[in-house]
Amino acid sequence: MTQLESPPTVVLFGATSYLGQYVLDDLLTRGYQVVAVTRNPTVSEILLHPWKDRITVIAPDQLATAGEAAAVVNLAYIKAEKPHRLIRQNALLMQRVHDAAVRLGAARLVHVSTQAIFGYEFDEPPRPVRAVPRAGDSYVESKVHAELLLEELQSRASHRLDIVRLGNIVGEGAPGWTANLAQRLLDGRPVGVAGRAGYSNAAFAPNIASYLGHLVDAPLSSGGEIGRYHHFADLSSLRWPALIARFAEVIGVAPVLAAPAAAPTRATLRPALAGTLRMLYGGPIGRITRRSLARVEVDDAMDAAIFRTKTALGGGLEVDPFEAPQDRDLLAILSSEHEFRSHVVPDWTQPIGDDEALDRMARWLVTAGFAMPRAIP
Amino acid sequence: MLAYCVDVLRYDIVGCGEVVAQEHAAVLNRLRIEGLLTVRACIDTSFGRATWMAKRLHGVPAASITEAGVSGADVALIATPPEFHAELALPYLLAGRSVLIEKPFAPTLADVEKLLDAARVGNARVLVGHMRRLYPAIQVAREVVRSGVIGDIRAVEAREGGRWEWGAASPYTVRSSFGGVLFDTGAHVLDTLLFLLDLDDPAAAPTVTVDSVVRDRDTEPSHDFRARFRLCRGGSDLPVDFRVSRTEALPRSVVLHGEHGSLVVGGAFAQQPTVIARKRALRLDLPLDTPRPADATGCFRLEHEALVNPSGRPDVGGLLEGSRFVTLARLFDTLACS
Repeated sequence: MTQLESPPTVVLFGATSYLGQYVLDDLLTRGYQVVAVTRNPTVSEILLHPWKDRITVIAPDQLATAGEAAAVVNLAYIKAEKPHRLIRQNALLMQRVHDAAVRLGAARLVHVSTQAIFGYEFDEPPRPVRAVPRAGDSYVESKVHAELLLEELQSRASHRLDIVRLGNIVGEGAPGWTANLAQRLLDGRPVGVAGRAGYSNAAFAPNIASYLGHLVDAPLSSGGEIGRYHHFADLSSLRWPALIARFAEVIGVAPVLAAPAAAPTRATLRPALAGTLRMLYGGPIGRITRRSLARVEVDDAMDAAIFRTKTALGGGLEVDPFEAPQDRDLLAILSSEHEFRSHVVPDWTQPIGDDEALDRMARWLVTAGFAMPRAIP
Repeated sequence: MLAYCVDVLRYDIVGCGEVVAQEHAAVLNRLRIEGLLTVRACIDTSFGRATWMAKRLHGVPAASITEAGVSGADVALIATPPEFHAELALPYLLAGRSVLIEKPFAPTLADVEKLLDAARVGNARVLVGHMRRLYPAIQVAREVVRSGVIGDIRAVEAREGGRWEWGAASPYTVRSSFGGVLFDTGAHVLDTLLFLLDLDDPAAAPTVTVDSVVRDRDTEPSHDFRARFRLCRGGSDLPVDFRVSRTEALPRSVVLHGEHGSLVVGGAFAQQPTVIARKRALRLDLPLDTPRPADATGCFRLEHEALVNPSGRPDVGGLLEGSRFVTLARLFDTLACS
C-alpha cells in the first residue's frame, strides 16, 4: 500500500464471521481503515469488541457515510433464513455489496465464495471457471446465485470483481472443520469412511486473510493472468486422515470411521417425514420450490404455513432420540477423490507454512479444552 | 382486565421474544389444538410482538400483566429477560397460579428464594425450563454416573461455546448485567453438571470455592467467561474447569473424569454420551423403558404438559421443580461476584 496522508478505507461485509476476525487483523496490519457493515448491532457488540477502538461499525443504511473506499470485501452470506426468503435476501445482500462498491468508488470488490459451488461431491477436479447453477441444498444454491448475481451487476459497473472460492476453512477455533471434527472425535462419531482417504481441500484461516489482504493491496493491473476466479486451499493436498490423526492424537482418542456405503440406522417415520420435507423444500427438488416461492410476496402466509407445520410436527414422543443424523454430505467431503487445487496470484507468499498451521490447530485444541488429560488427578 | 370463561386451562405468555417464537409457540399451539389449554393473554412490552404472538395462538395481546390481570389466567409462561423473571412471576404465584419460568430461573439467589416463598404462600407450582434435563442423553449419562462404572469423579471440565448468532428480540444480552454468557449458555452447562452429579438435590447442596475467574471484559455482561472452582461436599473437593463463550467455538461437553474413564456428555439433543477410556470412545446407547422426546421440541412439550397436567407428568415436574435450582442460583451469585 502506498503511504497516503489518510489511510485508504476498506469496507468489510461479514466482519463478525469466524474468518472476519482474521481479515480485520490483516487489513489493520496493512494500514487500512476498516468500516465493518453489519445488520445486527448486538452481534457486532459481542464479536467485534476487541476491535472496537480501531474500526468503524455501521449499519447497511449508513453506507453513504463511509466516504470513499479503496475496496469492498464481502465475506457475508445469508446463513439463517427461512427457505422461501433465502433467494430474495441473498439478492438483497449482493445488491447492497455491489452498491457499496459503486457508491464509494471502490476500484475492487473481492467476493468470498466457496468450493461448494461445485457441490459437496466433486464429479471432477474443480476448475476456476464461471459457476454453473446446480441442484443442491440451499447453501450451495445461494452461493452460486451470489456469484452469478455479482457478475451480472459488475458487467454494468467499472470496478474489478475478484471471486475467491475457499476450500474447507480450518484454523484455531474454526467452527466447521476444526471444532466440529474435534467434537466428533470426542463423541465417537465417524470422521471419515474406511478406505477413503479424501483430500482435505483445507484452507487455513490466517492464510486466507493474508491472501484477501494481498488482493486488496495489489494494483488493479496485476493478477490479470489468472482471471476473475481464485481458488484458495493452501492445505488442499493434505489428506483428511493425516489431519484427523493429528487432532486425535492431541485429543487422546482413536478416530472412528464409517463403513463404506453404510445404511442409515434405525429409520423411523419421523425422520422419514422430515427427510421428505427437506427434499421437497430444502434439497435438489427444493430448488424449484424455493425459486417459485421467491417470486411470490407471501411472507406472512408462508410463515403461518411453516408455523402450522411446526405445530403438526411439534413435540413427538416415543421415538429413539439417538438416531444417527444424516452425515452424508459431511462424509462425502471427508472422502473427496478430487483435489480443490489453489489457483492464486503468483506474487502472494504464504505467511504460515503447513506444519506451523497444523501445530497451531493442535495447540488450540488443547487450550479450548478438547484434549483429554493424560492423567486424572 | 381481560375476561374469559373457558373450561380448559388458561395460559398467559409473558414475554413474546425469540425463545417463544422459535420454541414454545408451536408446541403451545399444538396443545391448544389438542384441547389441553387455551392461550389467554400474550404479554410483551412491545405491543407489536404481543399482537403477532396473540394472532398465532388465538390469544389477546397486552402490554403488561397489569393490563392483562393475573386472576383470569390459570398458569403462565415467563419468558422475558432473566432480570424480570421474579417481578413478573410473583403476582401469578401469589395469586395461586403456577408458572413455568424460562432458564435461568432467576439471576440471584435472593430472587429464587422470593419465588419459592411466593409459591408456598400461593400454593402454586414453579417449574424452570431447563429442558436439557429432559434430554434422554443426559438422563442416560446420569444413570451411568450413579451406576459407578466410571468410578469416583475426580475432576470436571464443563465447556460450551460458539460464535453468537441468536437473534434476540431485545438487546438485553449486551445491556443487562444478567445478559451475559454465564447466565445464558452457562445456565445450561452448570445445571447439566449439577444434575449429572445429583448436586441439584437441595439436601445435598455443595459449598463452592472459587479459585479464579477470567472474563473477556471487566463487568457483566461478559461474553467469554472462565472459572475454576471447587464443589465441596462431605469433606471432598471436586475441581471444576468451566468455560462458556459467545466468541469462540469450544467443546460442547461436560466431561466427568472418573477413576476408570471419562464420561463426555454433550449439550445437543442427539449428542450421545461417550465414555473414553484407554483412547477408545465408546458411545452409550442404553435403552430407555419410557417414551422420551423425539427431539428438543418434544422437551418443550413435556415442560408444558408438566405445568398443565401435573399428575400426568410427575417425573418431569420433579426434574424441573424450582427448589432443584437453588444450588445453581447460589453458584451464579458466587461466580458473578467473583
